[in-house]
Amino acid sequence: MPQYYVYKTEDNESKTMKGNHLGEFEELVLLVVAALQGNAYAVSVKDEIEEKANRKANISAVHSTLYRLEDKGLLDSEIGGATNTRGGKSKRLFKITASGIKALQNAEELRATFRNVIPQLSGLK
Amino acid sequence: MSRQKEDISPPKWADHFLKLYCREEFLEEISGDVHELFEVRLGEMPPGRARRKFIWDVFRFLRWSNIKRTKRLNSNNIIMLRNYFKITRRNLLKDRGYSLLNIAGLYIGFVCMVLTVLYLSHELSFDKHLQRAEDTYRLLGVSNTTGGKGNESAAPWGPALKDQFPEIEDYTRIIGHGASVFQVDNNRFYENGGIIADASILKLFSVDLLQGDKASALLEPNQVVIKERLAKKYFGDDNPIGKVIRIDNEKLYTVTGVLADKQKPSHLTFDFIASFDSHDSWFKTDWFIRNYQTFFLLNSDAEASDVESKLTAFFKERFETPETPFDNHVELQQVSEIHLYDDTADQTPQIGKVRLVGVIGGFILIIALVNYVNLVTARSAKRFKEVGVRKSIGARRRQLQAQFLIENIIVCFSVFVITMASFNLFMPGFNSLMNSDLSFSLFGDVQLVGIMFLVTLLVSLASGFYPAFILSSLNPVNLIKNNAVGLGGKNYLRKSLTTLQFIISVALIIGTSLVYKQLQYMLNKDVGFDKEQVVVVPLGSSEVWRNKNVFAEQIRNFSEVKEVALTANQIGGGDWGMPFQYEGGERPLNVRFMSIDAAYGETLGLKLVEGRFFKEELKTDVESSFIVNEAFLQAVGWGSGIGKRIEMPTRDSENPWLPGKIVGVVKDFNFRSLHTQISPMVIANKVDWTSTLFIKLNPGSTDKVLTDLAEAWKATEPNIPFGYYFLDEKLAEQYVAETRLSKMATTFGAIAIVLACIGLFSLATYTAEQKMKEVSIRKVMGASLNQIWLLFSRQFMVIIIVSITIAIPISLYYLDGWLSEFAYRIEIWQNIQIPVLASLATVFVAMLTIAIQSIRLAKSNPVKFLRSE
Repeated sequence: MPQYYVYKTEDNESKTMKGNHLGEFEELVLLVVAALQGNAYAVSVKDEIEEKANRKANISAVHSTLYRLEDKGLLDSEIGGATNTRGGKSKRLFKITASGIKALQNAEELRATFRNVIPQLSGLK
Repeated sequence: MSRQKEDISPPKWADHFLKLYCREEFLEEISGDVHELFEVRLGEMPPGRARRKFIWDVFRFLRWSNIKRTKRLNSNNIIMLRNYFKITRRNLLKDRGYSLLNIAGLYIGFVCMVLTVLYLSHELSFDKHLQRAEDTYRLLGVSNTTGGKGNESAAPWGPALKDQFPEIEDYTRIIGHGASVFQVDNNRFYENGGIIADASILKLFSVDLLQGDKASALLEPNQVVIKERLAKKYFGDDNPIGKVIRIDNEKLYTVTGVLADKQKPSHLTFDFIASFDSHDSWFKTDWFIRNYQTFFLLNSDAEASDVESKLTAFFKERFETPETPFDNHVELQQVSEIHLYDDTADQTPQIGKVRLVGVIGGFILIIALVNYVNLVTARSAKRFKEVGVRKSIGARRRQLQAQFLIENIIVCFSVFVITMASFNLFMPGFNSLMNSDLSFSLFGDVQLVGIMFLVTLLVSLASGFYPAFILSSLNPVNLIKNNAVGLGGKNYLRKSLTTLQFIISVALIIGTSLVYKQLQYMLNKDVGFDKEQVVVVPLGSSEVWRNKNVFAEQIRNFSEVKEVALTANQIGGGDWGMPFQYEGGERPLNVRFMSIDAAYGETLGLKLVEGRFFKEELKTDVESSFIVNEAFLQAVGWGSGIGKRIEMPTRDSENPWLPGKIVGVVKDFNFRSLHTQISPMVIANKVDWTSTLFIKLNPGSTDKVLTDLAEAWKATEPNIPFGYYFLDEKLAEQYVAETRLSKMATTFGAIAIVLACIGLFSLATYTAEQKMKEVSIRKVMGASLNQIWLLFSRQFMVIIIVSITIAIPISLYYLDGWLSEFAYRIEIWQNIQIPVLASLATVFVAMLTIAIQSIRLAKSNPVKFLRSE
């Protein structure tokens, strides 16, 4: 297990350097993880997306997105407690990192710059 | 509720499957996730659905990033498999040249095979799409004495036979519409591909309409169904249904249906169908004039042979009179057989050509496969050491066999994939060569891809067989010492395979050149008339036709026009058949018949044996003068024909025969293609019946005369466009099948020879490598380049001579059969130089190939090969 972490962190840095462009679904997942505040794991993220965004999300898509975000260094994770409903299997809990917050801010600012120059939208602000 | 939940668990196998593929570091949470979701869903939906969702989730997790890595699978088998791939690659790269030759040869073979299979499956698919293909027949009349088959019938037969015989479920009658002028608003064009047919044609031939109602489309008079192309041409994007077209400047037709441009392959092709009742011809109710084709749909339980004899009896009763016994019987020809096997009206069935393509395609594949096997076995001999080392380290026989087989499978399937991917590049060339309209799609032709797959598998197993089983059986010590006993040696297998290749190549060269020679002979043979510089103008039912004599006189005055003639019969198959009574004959003789004016003989440069041509100023010529050809004199057994009496049939029942005198005998000329002998012919001077202009131009005439002609036409007939063709071009079309065959044979022949040379080259290379020591010693002793070349070519000479000896008689035998189809043909024994030249060419190319190797051998430094012993 520790070995695995070492491998992961090395990977994190190299990937972050490549630039942290966020896909639409990635951004959504990132927001949800931040909003769930410590109780974010694949199933809860999926439920939250389905409830709030009112769209279908497949568990494996959520799962791989979570890992991709972790690879990009925007999320951090640890093994959480096992529950009965999971057939005694433990879960991986995700939380947002500082660079994750930064990425969300960047995305927000990018949108704002465009929003401000669109008359129909700038009124909304 | 909770008890119930515990009883229901997700499917065990899905759980196991997850464990099987999932990376260990992910397994814990993924399986936790899917289980949790399952539990939640149990509360929301029936357990069956939850289970299905569970399975679905498990499969959705099957992603590359989640799958176990092979590194974790510590298996010898897989490691060895990787090694085989590596070795294959290294071996291919080590001898790039050979690998390229090898793969290219196999590729050519594969491409040729796919083309062949595609072509064959297209040819075999004609009219197979008909909904009840096995019950649809064409009515044929067969002569009991000559065996000649006619496919034409009279219009009233169809309905009468349907009423009479309950076995006949439906019928359709078809007649060509001829060249027709379509007019919509001010747009006028000639449309050639039209037919007139009963409404049932749509049902019998399973023709579907894009627009319009299939059941009612052709029921009424003056209705027409057109192809999409025509609809676009005349109506643009408007809905064509209900629109009106004026055809041939008279009748108005309503469009009631639109056909797709691309119809399924059928012997019957058309651009438009006019309803049967739209045409009213004087022979439409005649029981004897046979201008239609009649197709029948029989009940599914009716026996065709049964119906045939019933119909024969019916016609016998109807037609037989004491003077003319009924000498025919009826045959029903299955519609799906027409395309390939039709031998009616003196046609040569297509099947011969189709078989030929199959055979040539097969030959090329054989040559390519032989090459591949030869190259693989030859090169495996260079790998004795590798095999020896593998064996001493502990490779088992089975493993070595697997290695060689896998190598071949890799190479063959790479070629398979390349072939499939690049195949469409060859389609345009092939289509123009075969005048076909084939297309290939990887996913559309699953059958074809399947066949290719099987062949690839077979080739890879067959070519891997030799190295796999022979090499693996040898003693490792011998192998490492490069002293393989029992290998190499005489190489009977390889030699006989190469011989086979050369037999095929030599036979193809001989065949190609003789086909070409015959074609040239036909195109250049003196046909008894002058076909150059003759413009043919069909008059149809135009104003010009009504004033044909005036018009002919008018253009005769053009400075570039030498002579103008009127005729009722276009040359090259437009002649009619008619019985003639003759002086001293008991029964009328069936002859070919033409009707011409006085200028015809001069225009076409016909030659007289005796007597004269018709004279315009002699009115008696029109009524009672005839010209016959030499074949006629021979048929009736006369030495001279001038003044003899012959009688022509009329439609007048009181005077059924019109007597006349022969005024001239014309030298035999080929009024039909050279596929048929010249038959007895009678020529009459019935100018009224003529409908075509033959215009002979002076030498050196330019295209300007054509514009002048068109203008003269327009002055007389402004409503119908001027249509014409050149006689020599039209006649050349008769030999288009031979032209195509010749082109195809040349192309395929060239491919075969290139492949055979690749094979020879590889064999030569192999032998060279084996003889390195011998040659080196000879060189040290002072042998010259020539001596080495001789030593080297000796064994190949044997192969080539044996191939030639076998190939010449076989190919000449089959070509003699092919040539016998032609009434006018070259004699094989007069063209004996062709096989001789073909053989010499083969020997030359082969020697050249070997020379390349021997020079390399002779120039090498002997020390290199003698050093290590």
